[in-house]
Parts: sequence; C-alpha cells; structure tokens
Amino acid sequence: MNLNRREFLGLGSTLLATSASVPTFLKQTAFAAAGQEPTSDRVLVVLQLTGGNDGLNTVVPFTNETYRKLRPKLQLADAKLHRLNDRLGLHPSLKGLKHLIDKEQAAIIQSVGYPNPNRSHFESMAIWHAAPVDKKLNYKKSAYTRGGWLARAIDQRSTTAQQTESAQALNIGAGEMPKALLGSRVQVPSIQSLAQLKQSNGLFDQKTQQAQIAAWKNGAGSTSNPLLQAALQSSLAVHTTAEQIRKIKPDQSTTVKYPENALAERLRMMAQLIRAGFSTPVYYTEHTGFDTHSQQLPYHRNVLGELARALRAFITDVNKHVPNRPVLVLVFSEFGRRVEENGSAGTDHGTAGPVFLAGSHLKPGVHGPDPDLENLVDDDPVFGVDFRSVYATILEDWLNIPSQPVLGQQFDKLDLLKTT
Amino acid sequence: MKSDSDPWAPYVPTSADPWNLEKVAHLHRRAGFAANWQELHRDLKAGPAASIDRLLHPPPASQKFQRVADALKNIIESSGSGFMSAESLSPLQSWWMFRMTFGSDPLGEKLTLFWHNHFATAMSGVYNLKLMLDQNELFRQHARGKFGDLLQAIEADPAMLKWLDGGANHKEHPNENFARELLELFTLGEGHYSETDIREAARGLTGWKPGRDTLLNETNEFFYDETLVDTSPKTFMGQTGPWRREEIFRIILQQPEAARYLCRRLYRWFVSESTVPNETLIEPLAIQMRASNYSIEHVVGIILRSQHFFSPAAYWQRIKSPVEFCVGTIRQLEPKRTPNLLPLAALNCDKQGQALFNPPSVKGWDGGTAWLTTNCTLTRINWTADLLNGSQTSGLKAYDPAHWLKEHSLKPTQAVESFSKLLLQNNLNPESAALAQRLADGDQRQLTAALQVLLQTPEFQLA
Repeated sequence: MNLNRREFLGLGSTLLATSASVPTFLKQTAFAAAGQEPTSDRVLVVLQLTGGNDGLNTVVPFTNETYRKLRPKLQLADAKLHRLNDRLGLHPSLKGLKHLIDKEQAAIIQSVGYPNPNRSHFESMAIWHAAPVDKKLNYKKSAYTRGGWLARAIDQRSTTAQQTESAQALNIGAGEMPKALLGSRVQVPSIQSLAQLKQSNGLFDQKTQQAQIAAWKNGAGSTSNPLLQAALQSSLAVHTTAEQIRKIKPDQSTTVKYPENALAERLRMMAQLIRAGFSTPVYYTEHTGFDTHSQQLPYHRNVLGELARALRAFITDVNKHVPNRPVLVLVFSEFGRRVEENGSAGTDHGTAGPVFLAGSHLKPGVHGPDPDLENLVDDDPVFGVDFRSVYATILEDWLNIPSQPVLGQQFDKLDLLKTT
Repeated sequence: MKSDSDPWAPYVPTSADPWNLEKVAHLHRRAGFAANWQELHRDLKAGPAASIDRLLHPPPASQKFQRVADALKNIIESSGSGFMSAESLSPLQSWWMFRMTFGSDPLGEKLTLFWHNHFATAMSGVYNLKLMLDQNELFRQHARGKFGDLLQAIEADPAMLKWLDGGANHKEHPNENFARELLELFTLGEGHYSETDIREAARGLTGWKPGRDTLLNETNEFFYDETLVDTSPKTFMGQTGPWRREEIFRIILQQPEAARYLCRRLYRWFVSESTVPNETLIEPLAIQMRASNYSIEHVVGIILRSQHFFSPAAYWQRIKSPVEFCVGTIRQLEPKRTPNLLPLAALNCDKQGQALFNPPSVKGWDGGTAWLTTNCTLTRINWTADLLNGSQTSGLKAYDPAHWLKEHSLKPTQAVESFSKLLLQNNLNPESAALAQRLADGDQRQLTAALQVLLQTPEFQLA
C-alpha cells in the first residue's frame, strides 16, 4: 500500500460513511490520485443541443422538391454542402463533422423522435431526459419516481460494477443540472472548471475541513427537512471532490489544438479529466443557441460551426492520448424544426430530427430513414426512429448495461456500433 | 386547530408560537433579501402586523439612495443604446444589485425578481442594455399591481417583442414563439391549452412591427399597426371571434386555471420549493386572485400574513438563489462599501448560474435544489472566502468583524454568538456552532474562519 492510498483511507474513512453520494466519486478519484492504472472502461459523452436544432438545414435533403418549395429563404445551395450521398449533404459549416464521418469517426441517425410529439422546449427536453415508457410519455411521473435515463443507468451500473470502477457521471457547465442525471442514488457533481475546484482559500486546512465535515455528518441524522438534507449532501460532495481533484497529478497538456469557443473549452476539460485517469463513465454538457425563430441562417451557421470544430478536436484528442478509453459522443436536440420556414427567415418548433454519434467504434455514415416531407402530420415529418432505441443501443452495446431495467421495456436496437 | 381549517388565516403570536428572531428573519428572507442586525431587532419589537405592513407599504427611498441609483441608471442609459453583448451586463446587474441591497423596498425588488424569472427575457437574445433596463423598470412599476396590466405591458415591451419575435409575427406568416410561451409559461401551464390555441393566439397577437431595421437587425422601437392585425375570426380557448391582443388576454384571465397557475408560482416563490402544494392550499388563493381582479399585492399580502407562511411548512423550505445568497450576505454582514463589491457579487451570481438579465431560457431559473450543484456551492464558498479574507485578484478588502461588533455595541467576547444570531438566528447544528467557537477562541484573526464556518453551513444555504 503506498502512501497516497493510506492518506486517502485516513481521510476517507470519515467520509465514506457520510452518504451514498460521496463514496463513489471519492473512491474513483482517490484511486486515480494514487496512481493506479486508469480503467479501460468506455466513456459516454452526451452533448445536448439546446433550443431545437433545425435538422433539415443540418442534414440537407438537397434533391427534395418540398424542401426547396417550403424554404424559399432558408434553403441551402447544393454546391456548398458536404455531400454524404446522392440525397443528403451536411450544412456548409459542418466541415469538421464531415471529416469525422470520412475517417469513420462519426455517424448520423435520421428522423429520431417519439410518438405524439410535444413542441414545448421544456416538455420535449424533459421527455428526452426522462425517457418515459408509458404510451403518453408521461415524463413527470417518470422523472419524479424513477429519475432521468442516465441517472437510472448509473444506478444500474453501480449495482454490478466493481468497487474500484464506481459508476458516476459528471456534468460540465455552469447551468442547471440536466434532468437526465437527476434522481440517481449518487449525487452527480457539476463543475464549470478545474481551476474553480483548485481554488482552495474557502476550503480550510485539512484538519478544519475534516472537523467541519464531521460536524455536518453528525447533524445529518437529526433533520427531516429534505432541502437541508440536500444542502448537506451537496456541501459534503463539494469538499470531498475538491480535495480529491487537488491531489490529481498535473495534467500533461494535449498536443491537439482546440478552437476557441465555450463548447470546445468544456470538451477539452473532459479530455483532460479522462487523461488524468478519472474513471467516470458518463459526461454531460450542452451547446446552446439552436432556438432559431428568426434570421436563422447566420445564427445556425455559427452554432453548427462551433459544434463541428469542437467535436473534431475532442475526438482527435481522445483517440490520440487515451486510446485505451474509447469514447462515444451522443449529440441530440429536443426536436427538429418545422419544414416550412416562417415569415421572419426562421423556423418554428417541429418534431423529429437527426442525432449524431462520434467516436472510434462506429459504423459510419447515415442510419435511419430520411424525413418524409411528402406526408407531414401537423406540418411536421413523422419520426422514424424512437430515441429510446438509440438509448437502448448505447446502454447495451456501448456501456454494457442491460437496457430493459433502465428503460422499462425492450426497445429495438440499432446496428450502430462495431462489435470489437 | 385554526391553522388546519384555514391555512391562510393571519398568524397571531401565542406563547406556544411566539414572534421571535427566527420568524423575523424568515419574513425578511422571503419578502426581501435578509435582514441586517438593526432590522431584525426593529421588527422583533414591532410585531408581525407592523413588520409586514412596512414591507407591503415601504417608506420612500432616501434621497441619497435615489441619487446613486439614478446616477448608475444614467450611465447605463447613455451607454446602452446600441448593440451590446451579454458581457456588457455588469453595470446593469450592479445597478439592480444596488437596489436590492440598499433600497427601501425589498419586497418590490423581490417581486421584480419574481417577474424577471416569470417573464424570463435574456440579453443573449435582446442585445440591448436600455431595453433590458426598461423591462426591469416595467416589472418594478407593475410588481404589486394587476396581473392583467402587466401582461398587456409585457406583450408590448420592446425587449420581449425582440426576445420572442413579437415583431416578426405577421398576419401572413404567424410566428408562434410568444404565443406558445404565453400559454405554457406565463399564464396557464402545460396541459391547459391545445396546439390550435397557440396558433390562434399567435394570430390574435399580430400587429407589432419593428421601427427600423439596420444591418444588425437592431431595433429599439416597435409600433402597433392596425393594418397588420389579423382581424379574421379565430377560435381561442373555445371562444370564437375576431380576437386581438386585448381579447386574447381577457380570455386567458377568464380561465380559472390562470389564477391557479399564478398562485402556484407565488407559492413556490414565497412559501415552499420542497413540495408541490395541495390544491386545497392553492384554490383559496386563486379565488382571492380572481375576486381582486388579479391583484398581486392582495394575494402576496394574504400569503405573508398567514399562519401557513410562519409554519414549519414554509420555514427553511426554499434554497437561497445565488442572488438571494449574495445580496443577503452583504446585507447581513454590512461590509465596507467599495466600488467593486456589487459588480463582484453580480459576477459571482453569474458563475453560480444566475446571471441577472440573462436567464438560461424563457423558463427562467429552476430554483430549489437546482442551486445545489457542486459548481454553485463551490462558487459560494470561494466568494464568501474572498469577502471575508479579502483578495488581491479581485481587490476586495478583508472583512472587519470587530468594526461590525462595535457598530452594534456588541462585545468581542460575544462575537461568535452575535454572528450566529445574525446569520442563522442560532439555529444550526451544535457541532458547527462548537467548531466556529473553537476556531474563534484560537486567535482573534480566526474570527473570520469562524464566520466562514457559519456561511458554509448547509443551514445558511436555506431561505
């Protein structure tokens, strides 16, 4: 037993008893800090495009007459598209995504959605996060009683996983915790930057910090107030997380150049944590700005360009520096947008849209049916792939977690991943 | 017991349930941004009725306050007419933080924040400081007034017209953005309207056009043009007619669900985030809401005076939002005022996920346990540490507890106990209290470490 590990146990014995939320994260980071080999476990990164990405102007059906007719102002010129096949081309600013597809590092699933689509941002996003199973997709019931789909996956995984490879997830960003990660037995940390965690002036010396944690721990049993309990859990998680991240060996800097945008910065940090030996299997982050009701062209070009450049840098980085930790990125949005443009050179809320995958073990190219623009229901195309089939595939074929207990029923899997 | 039969009956102190420091502090945390030492003791003496009346009908602002607030506002107005990025928000945020921290109408500011969260509009879509400022003043002006007036005003508000594309909603090509959020988030809530209602409402809300259209699509003015209004018949919420904006709002407010929806939001804001209130709690408020023609002040007054508000069902049943945390801590500790105090506090709220004037979406901030992320908690810890210890990078001077004690004629030997009363009304777990005492006894300088323990307690995160 080396010194680091003993130090950890000395500190940890107090903490391990405190709550379900602390030990898992503590353990995995502590083992990383103790210089153990990072596990070869696979990593899932979920990247949320917030606002409802216009799928039709992302994966463009350039030969389609209806697309041309209903999008007089917003249609994209054939010549500028990155061709995927004889029907589809990627938005001009998605050069980075086209590059990944050409290198067999990305795939597209067309027409992903669900029955009776909800066109509210928040309701639809909540449906994607909760992945409810009943016919009415009652996410509220699911969310309150069962937690988000990733929270359920984490819980499912942690019942089978080895102690040292404790299941956990990490949200990267300053915003709200995504509902997909809420409701797990373990509290998922949400961090904005490593620098923030390393800033230590508010966290006392080790002795005071331990005394403070002990005080909280002893107070924990005496309250039935759920909010006070939650505040207590969060405070404990912060102190233990910060303590362990401080101990992590200095990061060897990456040789991959990232573009300068906020999404790229968050992905860069994820790659850094993976390189540093974090065994966290699930990361989550979001990219905002897809709610394009008016003057869509410049805004959409901008956010798609940021996405493609950041994604390309991230995949290049992890492939190069941590080849033993395969990474799969899932990129989704709460819905696509209506086929017909509105009067302000924008698009209103629609339904199904494309999902992107990136990583080294993919069957590249285009999966799923193209949107059928000739048979619209309420002015929108009908979904062709249930998003829960995508989740089922990722859970089983990537994370090696049985999907039925997570999703509540068996959904058809898609042939997306290489078996090796 | 009376509280069981009518939770909204006024609270009357009894020997078993006395008016005490905890209740005074609770009232101020909810109806404002936490009380300082002087206010706590003033209202402890004044009793509940007078304390609540003072919040509902505050004294006018001092001339000095008004001068500073106006000067800050002038700076923003003179700089904010053109295209601005979200990063230029600091002066505007500081101005509002100034009003919340030092103003004489904490309830008015708390309600202004409520409306900002309710009609969440963000700089990231408006790009104009002046319009964001004007919207904020609009919330303040209508904060206690009639909800119907506020609805009319917000629909015609340039920041909102920009934010939800009101000026792009034409007779020929309806843009549904505002209509959808109007029904889903502003008035009725999901499940109480149809997709058709959204489309019909959007048609009824046509008529606005932008005043000018420059390269950046920047516009500050909108005009209501009769010729642009869709006057053909529409069927909205089951009523058919040539409805326009006034009728759309009238029909919405006729729905009993509108009053219930608003009362649920007020309940969550003023009473509890930990439980979804039973309809038997909401219905009496909704009835009062409709009977008073949607008077906000009337219903807020009922809530603040009630048994229920001063019962365990409400006490510590909210998590302090970043703004409540930062403004409240400054109000309580009364640190030396330096020019960067409030801009740094505003920036800190931003880092915690609550950038004033830039909510993450039209839904506003989720609130509740969503404020308990690692990120948020850690940011709080780091900011309070800077506030207490000072920081070279931010230029904050160290806090002087001895000065505060002297100002309030308190003995240094009572330091920890006094601060514990101020911040937590002595209501914290005994081990944290003992740790703070132990740290403070070590060395006079260690009093800041003891304060840090108090500010980091889970109890201090609750409102």
